[in-house]
Amino acid sequence: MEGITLMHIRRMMIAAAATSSLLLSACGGGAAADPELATPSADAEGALTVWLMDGSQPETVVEAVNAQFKEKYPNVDVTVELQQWAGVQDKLTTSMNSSSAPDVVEIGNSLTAKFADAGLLSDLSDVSDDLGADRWLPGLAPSGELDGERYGVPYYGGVRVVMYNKDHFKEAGVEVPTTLDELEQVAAKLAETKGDKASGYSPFYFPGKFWYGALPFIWAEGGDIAVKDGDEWKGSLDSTESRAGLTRLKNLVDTYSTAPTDGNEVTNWEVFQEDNVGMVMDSWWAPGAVVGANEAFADKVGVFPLPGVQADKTAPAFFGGSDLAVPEKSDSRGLAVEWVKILTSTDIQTQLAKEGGVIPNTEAAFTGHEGNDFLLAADEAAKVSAFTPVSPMWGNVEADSVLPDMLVKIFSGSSSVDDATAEANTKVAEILNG
Amino acid sequence: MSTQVMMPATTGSPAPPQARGTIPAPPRGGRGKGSRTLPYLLLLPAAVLLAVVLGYPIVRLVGLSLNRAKLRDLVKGTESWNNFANYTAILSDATFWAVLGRTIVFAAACVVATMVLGMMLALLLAKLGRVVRLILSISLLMAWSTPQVTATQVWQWLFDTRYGLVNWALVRAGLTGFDNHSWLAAPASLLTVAGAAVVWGALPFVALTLYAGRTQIDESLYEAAGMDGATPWQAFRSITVPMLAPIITMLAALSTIWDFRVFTQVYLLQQAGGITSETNLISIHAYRTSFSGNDFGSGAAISVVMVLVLAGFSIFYVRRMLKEVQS
Repeated sequence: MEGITLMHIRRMMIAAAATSSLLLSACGGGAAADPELATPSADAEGALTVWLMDGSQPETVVEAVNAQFKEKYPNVDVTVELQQWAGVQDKLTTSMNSSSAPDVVEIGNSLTAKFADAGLLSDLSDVSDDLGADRWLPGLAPSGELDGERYGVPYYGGVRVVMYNKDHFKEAGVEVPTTLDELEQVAAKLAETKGDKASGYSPFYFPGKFWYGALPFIWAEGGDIAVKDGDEWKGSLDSTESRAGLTRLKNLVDTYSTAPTDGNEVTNWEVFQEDNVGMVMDSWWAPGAVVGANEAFADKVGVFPLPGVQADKTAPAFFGGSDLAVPEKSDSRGLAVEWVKILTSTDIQTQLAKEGGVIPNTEAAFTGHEGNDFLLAADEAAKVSAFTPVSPMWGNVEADSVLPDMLVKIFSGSSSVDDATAEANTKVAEILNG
Repeated sequence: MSTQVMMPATTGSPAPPQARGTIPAPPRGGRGKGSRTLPYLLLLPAAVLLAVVLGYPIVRLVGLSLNRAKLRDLVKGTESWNNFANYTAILSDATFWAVLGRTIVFAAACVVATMVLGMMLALLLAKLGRVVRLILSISLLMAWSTPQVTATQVWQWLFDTRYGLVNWALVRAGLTGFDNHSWLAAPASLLTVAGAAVVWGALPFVALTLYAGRTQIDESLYEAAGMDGATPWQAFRSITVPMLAPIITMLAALSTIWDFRVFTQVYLLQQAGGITSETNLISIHAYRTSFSGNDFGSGAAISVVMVLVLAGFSIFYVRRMLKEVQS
């Protein structure tokens, strides 16, 4: 509520400024509370350092952005440095806290809140409309926000989809399921036709630590990890809905998965190619990777979004991805915002969708996926999405492996669904409330 | 490096008095001031280097541990004294004690395994012919030079649930219960695999050092023992162990320090399988608290406790070693 009032006041001030020439000249025409974020004039000079992650975008996209930027600001030199994901969190923490901080950074979107809370990121609330906030995918937008202020600009996203073996589906005479109940029936049919777990065939392959894959089951039933109640986070893993989702997944895993109950998902796309898996969840890029790596297998690969409880709505997918942010200690924040503006514009996003194969930050750019069934299925999944609790403390929940530990205990049978969720729930609430 | 330092003390009985005699006695009295300060001046560069490289981080670590130092405090420069809150928080945290206990058991098991296997390898090296010994030595050196991350990946794949060589071999041997057996699922099992990787990595240094010590023992001692009717086991206990005692103590001390700080092997295996919260060691706990938990104060406090525990062990070992060298 407070945020809205503040925004009203700000708007009123802008209106006042516009009508009063005296104020107008005093403010230098800028409406932004932070003058450093105002659009620099075309003759601005300087250098801009941009940190993007290696593998996030093809080089052509960076070149296209730089070309547009050069046209606007011919006297500014842009250096784009590609960072590796491994260890980047520590590197970002240190560099953004130094006097030579980069001007634009790409951040994994579950970490934006942490960096924003630490005071490392510029508050971009004043320029977010200008950056196109109204066209961002609703699933990607919340990650960059903390306490009503905007710190991260959605760059791109990715979801988990279900890969299935088309040949096996044909043999079993089943169609792509449209509800979770149907998915279970399909698995049962596959087991009947192709063989059960004991024979080494896995109708639905699901390794125990795969929490990105498990979340949609919780969300589909209406459950969640935690919800904010005033200033307090309340864990909701122990809710009836969350437990229903996990029980459903446990039944699937118990009956149909040959995956290690304490394994991770990194080999899913390889196991799938062994031709004794019916369905497996994996990242949106995995089907393309399978086809690229195994031409003989290409015709068998099909993709669908994980269905929901009802046929009219798919299960909410975990919408991971990256945000772009401007470090508070950058010395050219105005130019940085301009660069971000170009990278997140619809035409560049369309190019990114097409050439990079990621889910762009706006539905308008989905056109870049035309002709690619795998990516269109991913777009479909992304339309119904959800996100982990947006809290600066969320990183601790991940670091402490609370969710994977819970899942491993459930699937390996060392704890019941009730006990494991109760334990994880306490931990999550404890961590999020600091 | 430490091997070189220790060698003179272990070259059998004649060495120590001679070695002591060859060190020139420091000049005493009667000289000018310049020569008295000269040794200190010569020590100065090394002292400065140590102060910067070792001293500063320790001072900073202790400072952090006594302050409220969340990430935000580091960014905004608002670190502030918090009345030992970091220490009271970690010491009253059941997780910390579980992690500390787990680490001590893990380190002890690794040290014992390393020392026993290292000694066996050293004795084997002493008995082998030249060619085989050379091959074994080279293999040991290669194992030693393998980076921890690479080695851990190899161990992880050996014990992989689906594709692991170990499961495959066990199933082939008729133990079909190991089909798709997860070696990382049970915490003790994960730590055993990690411990195997740790011991494997530490063995070369321990074995080669012990072997070097063994070659310095006069063979006539064993001949005499044999004539008196001593069994090999008796000879080992009465000759090899006492003669190598200072080296054994030093290696045990080093192994304790290394194994107490193990990070990589367990951390990587946690990504591959198992239950993370039940397999954390103290170094991983400190790291997660600091860098993922953004609480550098508490992370530093855990590290300080770690240093204190290790210092306790080190004092024990150093005193023991001094006694052994003197006797």
